Amino acid sequence: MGKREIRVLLADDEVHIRYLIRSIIRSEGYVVVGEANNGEDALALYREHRPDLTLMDINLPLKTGDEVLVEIMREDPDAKVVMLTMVADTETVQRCLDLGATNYILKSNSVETIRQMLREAVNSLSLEETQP
Amino acid sequence: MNAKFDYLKMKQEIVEDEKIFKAKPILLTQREIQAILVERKSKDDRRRTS
Repeated sequence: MGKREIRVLLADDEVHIRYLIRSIIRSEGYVVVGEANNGEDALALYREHRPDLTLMDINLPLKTGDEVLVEIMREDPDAKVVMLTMVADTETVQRCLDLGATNYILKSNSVETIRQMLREAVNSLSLEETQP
Repeated sequence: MNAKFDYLKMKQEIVEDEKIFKAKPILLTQREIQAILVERKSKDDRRRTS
C-alpha cells in the first residue's frame, strides 16, 4: 500500500514566506491544498479542504491566526494546527497552545529547522493514526 | 532637604522602571517553546494515566 498523501493548508500574508514554506512542503512530498493571505480565507479554505495539517501565521489581516485557530478548534477539535510566526512573546505562545495549537514554529528559525519541525509534525500525525 | 528630594525622585524612577519592565513582553526562543510543549505533553500523559 502506498504512503498516504499529506495535505497541508498554508496561511500567511507574506508572499515570500508562502513561497518558501510551499517549497519546503512540496520538497517533502506533501501537498499544499490551499493558500490564504488573510484569516477569513484561511478559515474558508480549512472548511473546504479539511487538511491534515494547517500552518498558520498569527498577524493576518481580517482575522488573526489565533482567532482562526479558535474557530477551527471549535469546529474540529482533532485539527492539527501549527503556528508559524515571528511572534514569540510568552503570552501569545501560551495562548495558542492553550487554544489547541499542535506546535509553534518561529519563522526566525533556519530553513532546515523549519523543515525538520514540519517533518516532526507530519510524523506525529502518522503516529496518532496508527495508535488504537 | 535636597537629599530627601533626591530620594523621592529616585523612588519614583524605580517605580517607573518597574512598570516598563513589567510591560515589556518576554520573548521565547524555539528551544524554550519546545520545552513548554514537552512539559505540557508529559502533564497530559500523567493526567490520562492517573
